[in-house]
Amino acid sequence: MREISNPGPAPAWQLWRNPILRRYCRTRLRPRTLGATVLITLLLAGFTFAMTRTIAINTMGRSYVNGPKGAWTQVYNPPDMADVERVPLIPLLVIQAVILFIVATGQVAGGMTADADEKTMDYVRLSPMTPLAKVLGYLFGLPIREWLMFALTLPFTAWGLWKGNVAAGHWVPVYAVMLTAAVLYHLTGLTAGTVMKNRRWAFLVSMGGVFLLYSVVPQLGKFGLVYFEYLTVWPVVTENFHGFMPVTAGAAVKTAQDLIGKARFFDLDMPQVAFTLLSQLVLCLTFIVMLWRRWRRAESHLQGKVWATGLCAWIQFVLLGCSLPLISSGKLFLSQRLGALFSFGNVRFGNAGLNERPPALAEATVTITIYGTVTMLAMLLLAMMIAPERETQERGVRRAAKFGKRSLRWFSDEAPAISLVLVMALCGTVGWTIFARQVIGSHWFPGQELPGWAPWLFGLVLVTSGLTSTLLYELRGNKGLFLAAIFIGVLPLLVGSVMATASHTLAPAAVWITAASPLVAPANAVAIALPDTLGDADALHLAGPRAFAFWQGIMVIVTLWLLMVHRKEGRARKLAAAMAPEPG
Amino acid sequence: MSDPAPAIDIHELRVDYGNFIAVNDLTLAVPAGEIFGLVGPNGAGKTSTFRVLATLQTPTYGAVKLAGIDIFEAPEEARRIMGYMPDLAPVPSDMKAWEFLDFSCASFLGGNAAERRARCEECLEMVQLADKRHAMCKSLSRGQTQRLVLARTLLHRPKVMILDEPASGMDPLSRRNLRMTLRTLAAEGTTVFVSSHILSELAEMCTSLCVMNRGRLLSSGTADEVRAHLGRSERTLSIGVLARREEATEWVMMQANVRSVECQAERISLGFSGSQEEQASLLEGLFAQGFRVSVCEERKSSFEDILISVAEENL
Repeated sequence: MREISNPGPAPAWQLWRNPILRRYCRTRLRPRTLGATVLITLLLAGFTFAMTRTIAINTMGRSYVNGPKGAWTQVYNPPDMADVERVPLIPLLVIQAVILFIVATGQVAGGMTADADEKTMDYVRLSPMTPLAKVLGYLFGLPIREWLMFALTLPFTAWGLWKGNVAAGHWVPVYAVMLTAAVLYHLTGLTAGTVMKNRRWAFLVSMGGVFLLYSVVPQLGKFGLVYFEYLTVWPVVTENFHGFMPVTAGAAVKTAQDLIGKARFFDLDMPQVAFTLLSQLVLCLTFIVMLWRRWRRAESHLQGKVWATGLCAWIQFVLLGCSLPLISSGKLFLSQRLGALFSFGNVRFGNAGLNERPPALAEATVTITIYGTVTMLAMLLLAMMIAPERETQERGVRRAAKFGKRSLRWFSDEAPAISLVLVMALCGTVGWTIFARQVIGSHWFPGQELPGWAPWLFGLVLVTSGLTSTLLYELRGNKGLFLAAIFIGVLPLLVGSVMATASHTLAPAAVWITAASPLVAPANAVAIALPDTLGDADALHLAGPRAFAFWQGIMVIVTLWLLMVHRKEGRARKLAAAMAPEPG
Repeated sequence: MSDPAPAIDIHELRVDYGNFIAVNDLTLAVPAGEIFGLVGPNGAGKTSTFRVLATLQTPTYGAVKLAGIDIFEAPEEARRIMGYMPDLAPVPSDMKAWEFLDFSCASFLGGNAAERRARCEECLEMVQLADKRHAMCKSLSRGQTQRLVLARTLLHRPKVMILDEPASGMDPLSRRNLRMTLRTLAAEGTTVFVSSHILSELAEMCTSLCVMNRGRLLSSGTADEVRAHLGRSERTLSIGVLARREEATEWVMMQANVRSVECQAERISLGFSGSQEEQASLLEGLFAQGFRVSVCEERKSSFEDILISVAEENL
């Protein structure tokens, strides 16, 4: 046999030599199927470009003048061509966003699961490429056809940008953020495709995940958590929107943008684009770490314990950093933002005037509740990523016993996550307390103060919910946690809501029932800390605190009981591993 | 010169799935250049062992070295010198045969396109699949798919080949070619670790083998050593007795080392586990008792028999 040279696989940074990328360049860009893709994309982009441009030429120069005898006469003056050329830019941007964010993300998730489905992913696992090279290969390889479709629309955009005299200062940030957002969305799809076993579920979960993360969650920005808006292209696009529009319309949009304001991360006056890129890159890095871990070891948790705890602290840091500077100006509150948006000097729209009176205490309570709920959900999500199931713990204990060790390394995947969930709960409590104290202590709510015991209440809510979920998962696995989430987390909320709407007299009972759900605990904790919010709602006044105290008491007992069971099982496991008979 | 370190060195390997122990403290060393067979009934732990060796699965504990490389410390390095062919080897549906090989070649060897193409052609010819190079993988038959994946396994000239049921779905000609290819590779120093359900073939092909059941290693060595170690020196004797056959059957049943005696039309069939001397004594006894023996045939237990009895013992 002839000798073969073996320089080894290309390093991760040489993307153009990445075998996975090349594989998809071959299979997804076959001339037979590519022709239809190219044709459809060119037709769509070309039609949009030509249609919008023609409409602009015909309508923008048209105006009505008051002619002789008081009749309105239509006149046509050739419009400014730079304005005309700008008109197709935004429709083209929408098409590009659909291609990159929706079609490509679905393709990434579906393609990844297809490989797992066909069981050919093992071949990639078996190759000596580094985990990072594998992640990058799939990340840019799977949506290669969609990147080509995007590229095909660019000549039309380039024409508009050039002939429309759009400043680079406007289009460069928009396209930079669009590209990082596309990578972020694809990483979301890749992670969903890697985690989900079933191809159809992977597609649905990835699309749902992308919709939730980048469409629903950013809406929390309207309630004070503006950081989440920076995971989307929206802040940068809206900031530069006017640059893509005809001059007159663009100026009006710019005025509105200035009134809405922008996030000033801890008053650092960081450019929107820089902060958006930073936020998206941190999330990209998190996804890459998740995928890297899975490629390194198929059984790995998505997050390491240290990384997840750090991420929890980082989330609090950025949430506070983006929200606190908006308190003094009132832009943290939805009423103030809407009021400012709908009042342009003498021109006033429906919601104008909202900002002429201070925000109500109830609005602050809702904002603080949302902050607490988001903190709790983020903590639970991260906890589930690092908590080991029973089987994993057993394996770890057996391994430790084999090597004569009495316990597992605390940050290993097999070690219980309880202590780190406590650290996360502590981070969450600190963040939530700072936020609540700053909001309530601001000049908008004179005479109001967050009581000194409120942090303990917040801490109790986070610790009990975090520990109970983690312990349930570690003791009973996915199924146990799922059943608990349905019957304790969701069902009381649904039943209580139905009862509350059915009859006013059922309101106290509804409060008691909904309070059983840990999801309502942040709202109840805030309501107890700020009783003035409740106003005259007697049922809530009477039932709310009692129900909260009762159910939190139950939660504490359940948590302690689960802790005891967990400890007992852990000891039994160690004993069984230590007493395992020697082979032979 | 042969490498003194074993090509495959497994030390106290354990694989658990919940409370089920798939591989229980397996210790095994395979010298370089061997074709080593792994035999065992379903659920014996063969595939789990193979997947751990292939770095696709993390065991509960244990140490595994391939050609001196610790596969848990340096998995990427281990993958460079190891070729793994899974059971019912899958192929990607969207690739052509040559594209599949080129993709694998690039991910193992890198190098330029011309070198890769030459190597892919060489491997396709080794498995007699050169005429299918432009066929879509999904259009290949089961046997052709197996051959294609074997070609993929050969691409980077691995020092250790781990083949899980490589011959399943292959026609007799392809099986013979597989045997010849593996022998050639072994002669060149490649170590082949192979499992197969076609045990006669495995016994013929392998230089040594081991038997696993319920995650435990029952025996390892040459085919005869394994047979002896498992206490399956038993063979079946078929003795032709011309008259008084039922009387002869009763007499034979009373003798030592005899079990499962069956009186057939013209012969007595019996399982015998004694030595050759004892066998001769048994026949002498028959003559001495006045039975007229016309013929005596001996048949050794096959590996199928061994495997069936091992599996049955553990039911």
